Amino acid sequence: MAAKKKVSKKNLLKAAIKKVEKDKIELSNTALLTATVAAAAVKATTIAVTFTEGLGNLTATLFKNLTGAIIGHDSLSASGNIIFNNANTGDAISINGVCTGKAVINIDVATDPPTPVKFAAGNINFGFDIL
Amino acid sequence: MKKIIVILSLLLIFNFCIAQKTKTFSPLTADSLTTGNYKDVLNSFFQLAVNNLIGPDKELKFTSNPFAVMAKMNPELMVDTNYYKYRHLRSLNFSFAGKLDTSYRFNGFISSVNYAIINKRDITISQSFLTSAYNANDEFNRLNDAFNQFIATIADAEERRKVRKIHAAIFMDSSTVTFNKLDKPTQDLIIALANKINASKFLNLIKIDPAINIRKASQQSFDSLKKLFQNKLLWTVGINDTTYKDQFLFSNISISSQLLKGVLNPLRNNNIELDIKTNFNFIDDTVKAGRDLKRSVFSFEPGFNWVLKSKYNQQSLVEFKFSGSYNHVFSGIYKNEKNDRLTFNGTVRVRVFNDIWIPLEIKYDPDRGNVFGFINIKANFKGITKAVNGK
Repeated sequence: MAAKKKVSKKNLLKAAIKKVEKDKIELSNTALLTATVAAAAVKATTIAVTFTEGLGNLTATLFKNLTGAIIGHDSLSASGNIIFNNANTGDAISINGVCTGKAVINIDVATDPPTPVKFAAGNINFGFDIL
Repeated sequence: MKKIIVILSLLLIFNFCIAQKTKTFSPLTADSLTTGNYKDVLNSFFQLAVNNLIGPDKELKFTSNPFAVMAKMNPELMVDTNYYKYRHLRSLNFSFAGKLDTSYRFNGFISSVNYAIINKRDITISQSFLTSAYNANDEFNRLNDAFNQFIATIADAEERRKVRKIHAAIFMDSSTVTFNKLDKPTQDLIIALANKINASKFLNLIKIDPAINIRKASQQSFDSLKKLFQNKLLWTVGINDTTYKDQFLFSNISISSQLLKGVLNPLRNNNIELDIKTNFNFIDDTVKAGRDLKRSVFSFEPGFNWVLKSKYNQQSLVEFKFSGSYNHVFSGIYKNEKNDRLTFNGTVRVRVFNDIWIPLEIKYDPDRGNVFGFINIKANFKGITKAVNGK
């Protein structure tokens, strides 16, 4: 059973890698985006970022569930909120940034991994799935 | 003097033993990378010092800055917007010291204020540091985006959870997760994503060393940049006064300036810091009756601080400072005293624990052939959050 699971995981990843290699993930597939957005319930999502003991900056990118299309992109150069009004269950958020002290990211909807997530001084590279 | 040398030698041996044993990678903070000499010039939080420990003029000194005291009462000040707003207060140091004689009796009170006119070493408020650090991490940022984009395309919920877990481990775990320990499909995926975004440096890194930890590799650019900033210019000016032991009247007022600048590449395991001090002292002329400040002395002390760092975490372990000082008496010269005087000085600073330094100062007067020694203990309380939270 475990072996079967492993094989299925490998196959899934292999298929996905092929997908990546063939560059099937379009960065701005607007036609597909419009269709998907119309079908799913919109879940406005606020990403609250707090930098302490120093400054920081952060960029968040929202990728559409299944298509991987970019449907949101915003940046902060101080503590504050990034709001994606068009987020849906299954979308993925990519987070990149830097903090010279500490940073805490809190998202107001259920995510995997759950928030808040804390970061020490350094580069920030992380991501969440909206549940 | 012999006692001091024996104590210092023991501390040096102890320090190197600890440094050899402790091969763990403690997190590098801007504070942990600063030299002991820097912390004597400008302190980020609290410093408690016992100066001239076995000499006749002992000093128990407390140094802090107004921001640290305010943050202790209001932790909201640590939030970036306030932290930046009050940056000038963070550049200000004040200190109080009680002077004690050989019998530990009160022998005068010292107070001083120092302000950093230029402090380019403070990365915590540097926008240029942030921009440079973000740009230096470009490939990892793009790799993270590509990885998240890939995760978004996984339809199977169970599979997606697994890959998300792997992603979090790769980008957050800086110790156990190495590239070669990831399963083959994940390695192939990362290589495919890196190829897709043309992350040539990253691909080269994993080719040279497949055992790299991706998180640690991405932090290297940040750490290197931070070390480069520790070489930048720090210039402080200050005023210091001492009272008599029996009257709240100044027996000495000193106006000072101190400049620090790293000279060698800070990424090396040893570095040299240029340290230039200037002082103008107004002192009570003890030859004359009454209490006044008619004796004025100017001193200029250029020197170099040689910093030996741990190769494991780049923390300064031992520092040797060599300087020469030139003194000129403008007024109130004593009988048989020369207007100009030259001395050679040396200070050895040993980091006993993370925040405790023991500096031994030695002064040599070539004219008189005298050697003076002072031993001090300085404890820096750098953990701002710990202190704010009262832990």
